[in-house]
Amino acid sequence: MEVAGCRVPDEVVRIREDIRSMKIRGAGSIARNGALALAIAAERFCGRDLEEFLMYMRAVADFVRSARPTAVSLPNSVSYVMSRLEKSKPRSVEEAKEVVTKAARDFVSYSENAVKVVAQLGAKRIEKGDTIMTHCHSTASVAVILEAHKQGKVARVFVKETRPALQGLITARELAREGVEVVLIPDSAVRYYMKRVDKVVVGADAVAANGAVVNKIGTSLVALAAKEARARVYVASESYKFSPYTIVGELVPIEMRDPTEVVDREWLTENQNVQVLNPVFDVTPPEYIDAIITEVGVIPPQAAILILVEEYGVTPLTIEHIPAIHPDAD
Amino acid sequence: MTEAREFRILGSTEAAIEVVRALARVFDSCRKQPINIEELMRSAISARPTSQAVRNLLMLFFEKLLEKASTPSEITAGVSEAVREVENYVARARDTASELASRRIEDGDTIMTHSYSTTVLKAINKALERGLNISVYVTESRPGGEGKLVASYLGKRGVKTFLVVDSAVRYVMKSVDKVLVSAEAIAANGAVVNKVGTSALALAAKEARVRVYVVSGLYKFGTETVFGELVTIEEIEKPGLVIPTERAGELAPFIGRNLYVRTPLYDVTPPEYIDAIVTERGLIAPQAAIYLARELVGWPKAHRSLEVILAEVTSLWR
Repeated sequence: MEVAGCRVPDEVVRIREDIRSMKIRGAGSIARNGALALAIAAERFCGRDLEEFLMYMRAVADFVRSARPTAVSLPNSVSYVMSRLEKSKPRSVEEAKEVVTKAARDFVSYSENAVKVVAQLGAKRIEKGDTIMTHCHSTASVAVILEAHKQGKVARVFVKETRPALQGLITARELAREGVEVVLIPDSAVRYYMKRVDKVVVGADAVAANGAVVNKIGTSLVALAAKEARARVYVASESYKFSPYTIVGELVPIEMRDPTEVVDREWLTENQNVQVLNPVFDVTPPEYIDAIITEVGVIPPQAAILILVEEYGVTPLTIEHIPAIHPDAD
Repeated sequence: MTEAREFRILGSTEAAIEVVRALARVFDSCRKQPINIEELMRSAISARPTSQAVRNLLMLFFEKLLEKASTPSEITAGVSEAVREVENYVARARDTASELASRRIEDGDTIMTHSYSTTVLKAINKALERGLNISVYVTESRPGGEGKLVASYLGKRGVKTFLVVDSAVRYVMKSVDKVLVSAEAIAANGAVVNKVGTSALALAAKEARVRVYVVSGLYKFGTETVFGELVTIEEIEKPGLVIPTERAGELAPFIGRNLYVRTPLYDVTPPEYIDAIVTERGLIAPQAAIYLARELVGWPKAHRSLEVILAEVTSLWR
């Protein structure tokens, strides 16, 4: 692939392929590799013309971004770097290269540090003697709870099993290993135990522009039960999970997974008239969320747009850089 | 009784009838020597302590027995007749309640149900017999997972059936028109005790403005709750109910130390989340259940508790 008379480095092509084939996984890792790819492309630019460099970088950005059309963190890391390049108004190619590599470096350390900051900020929201409830497994929310535990604040954590894949068991182990008192409960007991809960801490797979949180199926029911019981709901999420697509009106697609995660093949064969619905995510409306804890700060969900604009340069000016509506979106 | 306790008998009514039958068999086999009825009763009730059907149907059984007998031999002779009367009463009650409930189902409705209830299935069947075209969402209903049996039954019956995990209740509620569940007990204030998860279902229904109907014979009315008693809800600590065997190892080192696996069998749905309780004596606001159940309770006149009836039965042997 060649742009403006300059070949896109093989390493960039390989990173894109690894993201596409899911060899590189996890929101943080995908985002960091995306930024890294831009830095590599900039360093190896062969021309001398600034206009050509900008054209080249925009093409590389689109190329990298297209690796996983539904991933939320990837377009964010790319926009993070590109918006800094566009805003910097460099006077030479050398200066422009410097802007890109610095922005990419910044993003990588930013991302690596993000979970630690989220843990610190989140732990401040936990008070001494609090009973917490959590759902599924999220690196960020486990980090928040463990930090609060280290500060001696956590009395007990209710961990929901999280059918069908039972990620709650992973959370239970990670918390129990650090000495947290854990009560593992079935998903159906969410409302039963909610009256003993002070705070709910969950993670996010994506945060929409209006502050709605897309997370593992069941999260919205936990939030609803929390609202009813006046327990606080905190979402721990690094800012690169905020979805830039939703700002252009796109819905976050909810993937339906294989029924065999819920029942076995034998049962399915015996009961062909039964359709087993296995949605992976649900959407928690912003009004059920007290705050989203990001590494940039604790924000009300409705202020999600602030993160998208300020941190990732998602403004109407760069909208043409956001890929067309994803074909799978409903 | 062990079966009633361990949910090998699914519906609370089936469990209660089995308990009455088991008790009757004991009476029968002990024709000659006196038996400790109180001891027997305690174990019968503790078989499923949340179940009001067990309590009320035992009460009914003794009432029927005492109506016709006044000596120990007359009592033992009347046992099978009393059991039959209890069974007939229950069959009639369920038939009427499910008939009334089915009238609330309209053509094209999407119903959602939780756990296993013969009365709810009866209501759905009656709607189908009327030629209605309905679809049903069934929750897995963990722990126990008896929702799979319901889905299987409905699927084989030709109903358009969807099975979802308990967590997906709010996700699918938007597509539901009516929620139909049963009860393990109805409290004096109209709160409904049912399989754990029911209250979350009702809450999600309320949020989505979906109607919630509880179909239940009045024999589930919590007689004692009128006198301030709380309905007992057991929380079982049995890791196997949540953790599958193949994953037991990863959590084993912490269990009992700082990791507990707790499973309540029931939860309480407040009356404000219930649109109506459908009983054999009519469809009523949950708060009015006490009005229909007052004969059963004997309130506000005289309350004959199970203990009083028992004392009377026991005294016949003295």
